[in-house]
Amino acid sequence: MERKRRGLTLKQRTNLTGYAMISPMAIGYILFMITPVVVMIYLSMTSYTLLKPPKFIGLDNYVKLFTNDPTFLDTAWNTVYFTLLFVPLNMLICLGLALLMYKNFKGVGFFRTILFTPYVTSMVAWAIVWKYLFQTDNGLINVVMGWFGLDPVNWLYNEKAAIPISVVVTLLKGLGMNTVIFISALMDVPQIYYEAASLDGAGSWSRFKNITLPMISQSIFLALILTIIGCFKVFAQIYVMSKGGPATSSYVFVYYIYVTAFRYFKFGYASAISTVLFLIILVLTAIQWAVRKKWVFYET
Amino acid sequence: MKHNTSIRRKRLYITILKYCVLILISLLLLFPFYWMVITSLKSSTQIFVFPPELFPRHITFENFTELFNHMKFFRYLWNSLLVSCVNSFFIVLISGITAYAFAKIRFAGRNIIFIFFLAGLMVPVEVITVPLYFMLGKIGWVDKLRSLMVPTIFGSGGVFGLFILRQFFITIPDDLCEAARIDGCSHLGIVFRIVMPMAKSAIATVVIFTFANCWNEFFQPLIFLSSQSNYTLPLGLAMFSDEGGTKWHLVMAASTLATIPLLTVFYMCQDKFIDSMAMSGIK
Repeated sequence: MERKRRGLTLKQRTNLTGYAMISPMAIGYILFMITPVVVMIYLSMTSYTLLKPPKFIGLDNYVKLFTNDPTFLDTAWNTVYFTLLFVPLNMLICLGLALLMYKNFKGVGFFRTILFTPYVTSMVAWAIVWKYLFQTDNGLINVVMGWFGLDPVNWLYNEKAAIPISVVVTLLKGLGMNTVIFISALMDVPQIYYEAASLDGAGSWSRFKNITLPMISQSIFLALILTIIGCFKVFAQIYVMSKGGPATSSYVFVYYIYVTAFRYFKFGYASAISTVLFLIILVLTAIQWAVRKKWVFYET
Repeated sequence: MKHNTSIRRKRLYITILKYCVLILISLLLLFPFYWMVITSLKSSTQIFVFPPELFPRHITFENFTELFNHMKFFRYLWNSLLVSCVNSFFIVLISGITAYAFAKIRFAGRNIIFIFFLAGLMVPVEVITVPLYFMLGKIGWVDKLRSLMVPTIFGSGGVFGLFILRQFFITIPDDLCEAARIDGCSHLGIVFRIVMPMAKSAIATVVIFTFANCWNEFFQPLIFLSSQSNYTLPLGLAMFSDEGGTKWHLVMAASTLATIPLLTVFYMCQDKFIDSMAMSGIK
């Protein structure tokens, strides 16, 4: 059955065509995606700085990270603190907004656009405006607090406030995303379930708890993981608003990588921090994929 | 009857409450933009008036002319535009061809190789930036705009494009491609004459997502670029705000100018924009 031309079977020619078409992307992908990961793991086991070429030191960087680096502990805690504040607030507000908006009503498109406007804005510009609003002297937030007889607060150079403020700024910027994801999940719940439940006399809370929540739980879970990953990648708002400070009170993973590599020029050590962050995100993504795979099989 | 009116009244209250909540949140989200624009129209002395004027009596455009003396705004704008356009174009081109091969050519090992590409979605840009800096330094690409192009086209951006386009190409009937093959059309011909024109909506998703991401990207420009003439808009803006200190009228003018271009595009095709962004979340 196999046709032969130029000494190749049809199957072989198909393979060659396929490989030829994916090869530009494959070469670029190996060079600029796989190689950096390998180089990162290699550099993380070297004592590479601006002055010293890479020299292999085994796991010394990791040992130092976890046993003898208070800044790394601060960084890890700040990132976790950010995540613990951000994720529940984001999930609850977005779910609430989605419940308000998923049924068609006058102006729904308008509100959706407004909700998404900060999301499309660059984080640098958004954070700069909020930095201005949070100024101690003549910043609008302190002025408004003054109208109510409250004393001005030093928001920006304040160890206790640095992370919570970046949470608020990030939260307001990102509301649109998860809200839109939840809206599309809510619209997928078959209306007939609600009708049946209503006939059985279920109240609105019981309908929400017994129908809505289970039906959209996949979307909630996927959004949850994505949101946590997002928290571990926070950078621009910290860079603009607090520069990690005061002291190290708002150092987060990516900021610590940035400072280690490009202020202290310890590239080896920065690669070790990058590898730790990479592993955390890898585990989170793997969980997300595993769970989704299970759901996909379940659905079909 | 009485029961009915009380339900109707309850519904009315809920609707009113709904609008109140949504309007409040909208005001909260839009106010920073208002404040940014208003401050950029105030003079340098008006900035220090206490309490700050919510509705300034005098407005001036001199901040913008002064800004152009301090900041190479149009240079940054051009750099951002160049990086975003080049990346969008090449991602559609290269990941389009690759996506076609994965969707329509039954070569051996294609599923495993595709998973190998998908693994790239797990690797955040922030993580590989230090090793990339090291590698780009070796080939003399640091402080060149191509450092923001090539690694993105073949890395995070390209993999996203590949994922979205392959998903769409699979839905195009095989018969269509086979008929074209029988008529003597090459595979590349099929990509450009049949598959791509049918995938306009998926391509728009990839372009919007890529463009917006490249336009707003801050971390890589901060690390790869050092000469001012290479800065992209977010980097130029951040650097200007670091130097500008309390010259808030100028900093806000710069922020306004940096924000306007993408928001204009967003408002022109908001539905497609929101869908594209949400797609990256659901992927």
